[in-house]
Amino acid sequence: MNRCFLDATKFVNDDYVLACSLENGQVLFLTNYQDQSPISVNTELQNIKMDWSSPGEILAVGGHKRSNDLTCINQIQFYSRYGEFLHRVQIPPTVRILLFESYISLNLLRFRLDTTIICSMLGSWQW
Amino acid sequence: MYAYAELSNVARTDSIIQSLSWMSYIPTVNSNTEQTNQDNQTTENNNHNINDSNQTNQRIINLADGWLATGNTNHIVSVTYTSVRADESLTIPDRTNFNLRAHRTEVRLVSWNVPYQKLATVDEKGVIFVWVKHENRWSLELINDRSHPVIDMAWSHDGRMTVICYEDGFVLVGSVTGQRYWSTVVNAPQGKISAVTWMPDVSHVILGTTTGSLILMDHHGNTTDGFSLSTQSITQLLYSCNRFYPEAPDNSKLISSFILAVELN
Repeated sequence: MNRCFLDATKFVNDDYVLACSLENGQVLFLTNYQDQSPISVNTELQNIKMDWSSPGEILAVGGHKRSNDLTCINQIQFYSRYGEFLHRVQIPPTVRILLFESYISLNLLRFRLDTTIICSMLGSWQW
Repeated sequence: MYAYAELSNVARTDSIIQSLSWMSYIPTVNSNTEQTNQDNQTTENNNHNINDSNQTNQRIINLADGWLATGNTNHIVSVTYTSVRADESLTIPDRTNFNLRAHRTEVRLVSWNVPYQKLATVDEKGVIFVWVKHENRWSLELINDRSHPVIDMAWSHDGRMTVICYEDGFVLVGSVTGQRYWSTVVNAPQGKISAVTWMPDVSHVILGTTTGSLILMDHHGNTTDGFSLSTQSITQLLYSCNRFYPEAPDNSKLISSFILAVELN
């Protein structure tokens, strides 16, 4: 058996998913780095930033998009480790495009736009 | 699941935050040195309790309180205590706000090393500082200046190592204490390096490129594998590893995966 194969399959389990974001707003969920057919999600957001929840169960993806009247919509989307869409949070619109840097933990989510916005995710993680 | 957004018109900052990083709050044991022995005993007892009560060998980690670090355009790194607890009775640290001033340009990246409770900060010129908290103040522990902008950096999941990728293709792996393990220059026909992360077992680093390829490097810096994922530039790579446990990923799971691989063959 070849060693490379072993290395690649070493992390084929649900515990370790490699999230890979692309320039076009796509997010790939790879079960290992050689995953030939990763689950692919199109967030339709620009300039995305992502972070796993502390226990590694939920992926938060933050970014922005332009609406028809050219206002900027900031948004955070939440996905399971299988790429299933879970939730979406709209952030109140701001005039200019902002660098979106997100920080996510299990129950605290905070990022900075024109004004300080603090999102707390409360309750249990059953939906 | 419930998400709540609170918009405050009062809260303003005087600078744009470029990077955020958070880690759970671990109370310092000895704010009073005379009580150190007693505190140590208490800590040991607590550890016993944790081990006894938790069969899965995972530490009980406090996710309600923590430190939020921000890297700002005004050259300042801010470290702020955060909490989502409702009750007022909780014990908070003596000081909850720190402004760390050492960078001379915009701070691009901040990243906590949770197991070692250290903070790495990177500015736009590529100057890297590692901060550590002593008593009630943060001080510089390491300085690294290669005079090249940093594309990305990542602490290993056990906190023992860091990988730093520079704009000119230079890749550096060093220990948390500042020792260089290996370095190499990646002349990727597959484009420039745009993101980096560690394999969960810290055996390899995975580099992402602007042309959508992944490059795997072993613990000597040798390229062991390459793989094309997309035509799009990779902007971020993140393993769903638990960053909050100092222990390496559960070995038993890796072993069972090996068995699975044999079955597939």
